[in-house]
Amino acid sequence: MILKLAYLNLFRNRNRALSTGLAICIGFVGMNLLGAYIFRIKKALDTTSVYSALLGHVRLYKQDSLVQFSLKPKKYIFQKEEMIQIENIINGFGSEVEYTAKNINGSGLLSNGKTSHPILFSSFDPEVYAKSLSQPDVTKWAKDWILPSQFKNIDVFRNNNEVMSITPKIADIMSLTYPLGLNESLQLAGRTLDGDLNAVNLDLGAEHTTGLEFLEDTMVLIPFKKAQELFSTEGAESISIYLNPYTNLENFIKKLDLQLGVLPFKVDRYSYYDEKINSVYLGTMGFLMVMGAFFIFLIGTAVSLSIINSLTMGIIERTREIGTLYAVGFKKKDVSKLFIYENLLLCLCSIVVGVGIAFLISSFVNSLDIRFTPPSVIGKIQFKLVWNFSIALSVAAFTIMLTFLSSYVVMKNKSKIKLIDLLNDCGA
Amino acid sequence: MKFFSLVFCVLTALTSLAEQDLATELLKASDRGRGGLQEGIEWNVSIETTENEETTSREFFIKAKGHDAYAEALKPAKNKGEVFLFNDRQMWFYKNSLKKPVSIAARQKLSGQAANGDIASTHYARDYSATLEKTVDFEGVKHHVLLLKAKGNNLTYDQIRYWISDKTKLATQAEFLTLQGQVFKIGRLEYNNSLTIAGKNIAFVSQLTIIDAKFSQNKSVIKYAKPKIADHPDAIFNINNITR
Amino acid sequence: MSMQTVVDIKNVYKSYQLGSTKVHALSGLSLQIKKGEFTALIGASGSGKTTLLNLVGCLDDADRGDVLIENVSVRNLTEDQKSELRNQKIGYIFQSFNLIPVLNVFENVEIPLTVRTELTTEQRKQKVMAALKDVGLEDLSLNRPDQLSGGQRQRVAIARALVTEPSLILADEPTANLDSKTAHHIIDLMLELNQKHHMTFFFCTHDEKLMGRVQRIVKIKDGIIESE
Repeated sequence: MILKLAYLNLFRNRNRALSTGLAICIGFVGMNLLGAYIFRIKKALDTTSVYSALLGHVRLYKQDSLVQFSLKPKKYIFQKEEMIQIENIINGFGSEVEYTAKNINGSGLLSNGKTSHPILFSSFDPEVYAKSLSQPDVTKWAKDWILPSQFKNIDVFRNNNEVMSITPKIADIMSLTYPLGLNESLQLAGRTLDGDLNAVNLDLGAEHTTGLEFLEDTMVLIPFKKAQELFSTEGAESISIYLNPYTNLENFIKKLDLQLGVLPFKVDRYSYYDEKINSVYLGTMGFLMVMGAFFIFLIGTAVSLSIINSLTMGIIERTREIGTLYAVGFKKKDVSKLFIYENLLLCLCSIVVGVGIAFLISSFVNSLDIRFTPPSVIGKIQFKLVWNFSIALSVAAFTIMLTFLSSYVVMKNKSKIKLIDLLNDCGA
Repeated sequence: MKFFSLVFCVLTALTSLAEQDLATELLKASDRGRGGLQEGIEWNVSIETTENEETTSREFFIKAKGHDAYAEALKPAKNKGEVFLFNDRQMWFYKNSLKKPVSIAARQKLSGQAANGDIASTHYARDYSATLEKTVDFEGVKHHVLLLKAKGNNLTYDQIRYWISDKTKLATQAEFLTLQGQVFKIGRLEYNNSLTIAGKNIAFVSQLTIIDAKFSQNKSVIKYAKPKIADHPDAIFNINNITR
Repeated sequence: MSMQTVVDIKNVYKSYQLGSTKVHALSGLSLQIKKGEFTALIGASGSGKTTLLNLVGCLDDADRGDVLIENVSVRNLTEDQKSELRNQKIGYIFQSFNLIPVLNVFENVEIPLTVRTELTTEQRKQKVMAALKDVGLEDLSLNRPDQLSGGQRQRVAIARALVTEPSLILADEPTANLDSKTAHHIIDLMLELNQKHHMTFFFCTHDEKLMGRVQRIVKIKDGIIESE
């Protein structure tokens, strides 16, 4: 009966119910679309971090290697036997792990026989590269962050294990012509583990983009074997683990940590979103989360105030009615329930309508293919809103909670009024 | 009053010029002791480096002529055959497996505290502008202390404080400075070798000890041995010939 | 046969602050109402009738003294306990009916039963229909209050008061907003219910014409009983 009364009360003042419902609906849609945008960016960052940047879901380093490897590479490289031990642990996870890769990162001079250009290099395995770029998520979420030619790199790397990948900016700096494969090979000079100067030949024929302006004139990819040759080592600086899409990362990490703990040497384990190996991810997501939280706070406040205002007016108008309900035996909690249900029903209706509107708006915006260049990013990415049922559900839960709290606060205040004063009230 | 001011200014300028000439002359003289000669010469170099309580050693054979130098690595075996070529101020690294040489910088680390440019001949008089800072008694001998500032940014060091003996006209100590003027390495030179040029014996550097200014336990000792005059064809200093 | 005391008002005092003036509505009033009595409380405006009715109905609290409803003291009851007491033992008929406009007749009458979780839907339906039958409105159960006359609305209010089968029905000027003919019918109905269900009625009224029809008249003046 209370629910029925709450429902019927919605039609008492249709204008007010409509405007409150609209406020809730707009707030819900706003939060939904904000969530859709942040979700899209997060998925893109996740995908590019794991697959395009070849970090893998998890990266293993020797303890303190992240800081110390560049200073004392010989001490902080994984030796062959150590890598075998780690691989045995990873193999124990079976189908949870899709594939792994060994990596070496470093710095050096890229030379075309006339001039040299300082660069940072990251190594890759051709098969890992192929598997990573072939992931469905890459096409789905990170197409904007990858050059179309990068997909062709898969065959280029498979056909020639001495091909490196450079960025268009580096090609320009080194006055290279297109197609890149027609250029003579370049040489990459660096230091061996012993600190001696060394250099290797690298063929051209592949290009990539880092997606980031500050790395675009610096970052190259070289085959892992070439990195080993440059460093004069059979070891690896780090090991990347690429998980099956259905594997839960947090659970995997817990199990992995336990197993790594029994190794005779200490290993540092980083997730792809760890600040120490992916500060761009943390910085971007941190900014988006703060911005999102700010807007949700604003929207939530506006929605909350709408509800409080509407509910307060409703109580003023129905003060005597409330008194009557008390008089016939309703307890305070029953009357509170009545008004809370009223607002919750309104909220639910607004959410249902809001879901439809959010879906339509996001479809419309996506169809416009709006492109923009985020700060420090190379090229343009599509402004896309990926409407998602989970987000809608979360926002709905938040909105319902907000409605409940707002209503509860008002009722808590109003329930302090004496019954006799309620009955003697003349109404608004 | 004006007359005396004018005389004073002229005298100061003349003194300055004289000092400038002295600095340059000292520098030219000290270069000779470190291979900065027009004649072709060659010598062996061994570098023993102590760093983080580990000792490593490398050996090179150097051929120099004018402003060019050719350094070939002899030891250890893994580095044998590597070539460092100095063409005036341009420097190259090459090894047989490479299709082309790599342009490198003289200031890059060769081994330990030794930079690439430390094993070749020096041409400080050409590469640095010298100012006579002071004259001091250093190890009982009168020394002129010069402040050398690099004329370009492709030289081994940005700034050097150079102690040149007034008696021998040879540099005995060097402080290698950053652009900001901070000492990061200290070098001590010995001249126990000699070269005979046109019947005249000239002293030649036998050892350069370079110590890390902050961590004195890290050092490199460069020993120069068996210097002799040699007629090197210009072709050996041509980078294109090396890669063929 | 001595009748059971339904309401025992013991030396109650009640004051109100009206601006800067303190109004003493009741000053040491004591009264007993027995089961089955049909008692009218009369007095001039400001005599304290409504105040007394409110205290009996647990709608307000006495400053001093106590009110016992079937030997249960209301003095130390919590608000929820009072609500429960009102639901179980007291039916209240308001001067302006106080019906809920969005509910139909059936639902308005059903309202007090909805807090009684021990009743099934069917049981509630039976009680509501019985109450509506008592007031002669069983055919108008689906009508809304705005579709009823004043007298019909007051009947609904009476049915609502009856539906919980209370020990006591209180009415504050139940006929004040009705024309004389309708008022007459309402009092007839109340009398009928009093006789049929042996229900105790305690109500206040201005209407002199009703004096001859009540069993007991309690006259109140300046917050104390003048005569009964």
